[in-house]
Amino acid sequence: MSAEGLVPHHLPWTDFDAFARGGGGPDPVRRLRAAERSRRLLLLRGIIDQAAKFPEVSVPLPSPEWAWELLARIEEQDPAAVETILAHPYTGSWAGYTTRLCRQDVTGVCPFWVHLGHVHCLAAAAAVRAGAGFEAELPIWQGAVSLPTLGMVRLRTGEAFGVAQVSASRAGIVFRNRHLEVRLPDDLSTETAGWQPVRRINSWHGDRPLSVRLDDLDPYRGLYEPIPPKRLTPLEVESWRTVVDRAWQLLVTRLPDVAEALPVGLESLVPAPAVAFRLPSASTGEAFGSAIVAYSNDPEQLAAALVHEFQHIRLGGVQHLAALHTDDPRERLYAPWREDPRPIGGVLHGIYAFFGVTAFWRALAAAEPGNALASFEFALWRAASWRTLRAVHQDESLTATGRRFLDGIAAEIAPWQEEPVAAEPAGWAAMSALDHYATWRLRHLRPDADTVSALVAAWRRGDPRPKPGRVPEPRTPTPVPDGSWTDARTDLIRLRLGRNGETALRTHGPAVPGAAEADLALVHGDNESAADGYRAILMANPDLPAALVGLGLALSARGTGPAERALLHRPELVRAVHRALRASAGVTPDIETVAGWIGGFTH
Amino acid sequence: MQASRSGKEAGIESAVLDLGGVPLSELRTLDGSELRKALRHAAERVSYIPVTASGSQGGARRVD
Repeated sequence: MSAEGLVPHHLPWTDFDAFARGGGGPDPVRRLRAAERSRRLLLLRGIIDQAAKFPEVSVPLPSPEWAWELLARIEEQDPAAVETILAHPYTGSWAGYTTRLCRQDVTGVCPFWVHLGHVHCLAAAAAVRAGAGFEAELPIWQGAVSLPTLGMVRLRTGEAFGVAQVSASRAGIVFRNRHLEVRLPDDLSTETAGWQPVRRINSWHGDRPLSVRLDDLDPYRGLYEPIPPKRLTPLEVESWRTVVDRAWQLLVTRLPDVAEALPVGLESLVPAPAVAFRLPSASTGEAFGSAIVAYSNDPEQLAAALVHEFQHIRLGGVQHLAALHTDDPRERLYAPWREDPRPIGGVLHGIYAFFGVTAFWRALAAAEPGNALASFEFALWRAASWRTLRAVHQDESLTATGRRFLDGIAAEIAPWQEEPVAAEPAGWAAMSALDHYATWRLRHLRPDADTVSALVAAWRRGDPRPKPGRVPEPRTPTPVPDGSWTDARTDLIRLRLGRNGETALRTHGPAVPGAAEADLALVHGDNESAADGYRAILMANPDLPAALVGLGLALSARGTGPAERALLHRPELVRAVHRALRASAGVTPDIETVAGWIGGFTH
Repeated sequence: MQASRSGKEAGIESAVLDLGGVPLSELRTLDGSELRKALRHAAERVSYIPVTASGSQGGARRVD
């Protein structure tokens, strides 16, 4: 049969522009889903074609064509069951991963037949959902058989990999191997000795439901490669339900437009372990509908993370249809949310994600004028996303379509730059941004070697105000960092501005990873003690980025002298000159003195 | 990828073939140059799928 009558997916500009502006409601997201379904089917068809050419690759399992036939039969009986499996985020991850294995002719985390054989798991899951009778053989990995979207069967096995038989009839669904037989419970949400179901979180606020799977089982739920299950305890599941419920309430009340669309684009959460003072999250363009999120008991931070990941999901869907940039992997751009230089594609994703994050904190700050943390986050991310957008708008690797996307974002966030924010959170946000950029410069910019040599020579001859000409700005960052990174000061600021801030800072501040006494003093507002503390650290390690920038921040709190200007705006030059002076014979000046000298003629 | 030439609302015509109305039983035997092109494109693009991860420390391999 010919495919000549088929047409490509079409992304109307109205949808595209609505996505760019962070809106559009649920229907455009449904259209992205439809395109993603087609993309997965194309990958699935490609995998089956490839396997059919080399029948030996599926042994000891049957050919993947059996799975396709089962899926086709179930589609006729119960199309919704197959649609659920096709829409499952990790069907996309599996299809992408297995396609890469096929194209690169490599084995993967498991033997290739195990990865290929996961298609039998997908078909079996669809059949179980449909309540159909069937028989199939499925791969076992570390004693577990995956039924995507439903759960995992536990079979004892002597080897890392094996084959399980499943038969489903009116008598029930039974899995067996040489060692064990497991009968699934009638109610698949019930956990038994041999069956672990995927748990759900169902939240309602007003008339807005959010229903997501909390998937700690699916082998393809990770970012890069299959991973084994990491089962949450019932208590942990309840904690997740509680905090998601509160986060959902916040989103529905504070960001109703996003809350209307988000449930269409987010159907699965992968729980990750909590990280103190942080809420890391992640997603991949292959798993449309999924976000990996660390646990936090803070609903505000979780709500921001959900918006962040929803933005990635939407943009990932758009990028399956539209080229926003050329394939340019060069890590060359500053991103205020990263500690390392990023390629254009990553920066674009970051701008869009933090545009969404900004919108959330903006709405929360407007609704809760006393919420200093919300104001801080709003001020921080509106400036970060705006600064980055402007920096890359004319980038050579952006396409005209990509530039149009940025224009849509800009139309929203440009006016936000002028909105009033209370002085204290605004001041901390400005300091945090300065801190981040100066530290990034120290790690990733290398000053011009001739300039450094000229300045070292000038210092040695005692020239108080050399005229080196225009000190060139380093152009290309290096991905290899020079020195360590810490976000400790920004973590401390968040503690200070959060609930019971003073107490929280005093009680929990010392536990913030990487926080020095000087950092605590700085965020307490004791700038003299902070400066003394940083000076002491620099006596022992004059290269340390956190202390160099910290000293600049502490000094700048009392005015704008040359030393702080140099430490905050040309820190890489200060350190390079000081290093060269240390390497030569004679008395080594302290780095603050060198900074003051350089700041006297560079600013 | 280009602006639509059809009578549809102006927009972007992707390289992803719309399989919305195609039953799986038919998709298995579907053939033709358009399909082969779409299969090739889908497979080639899996090397360029973005992975995004936020939270710059704490072990997250991140990304945007």
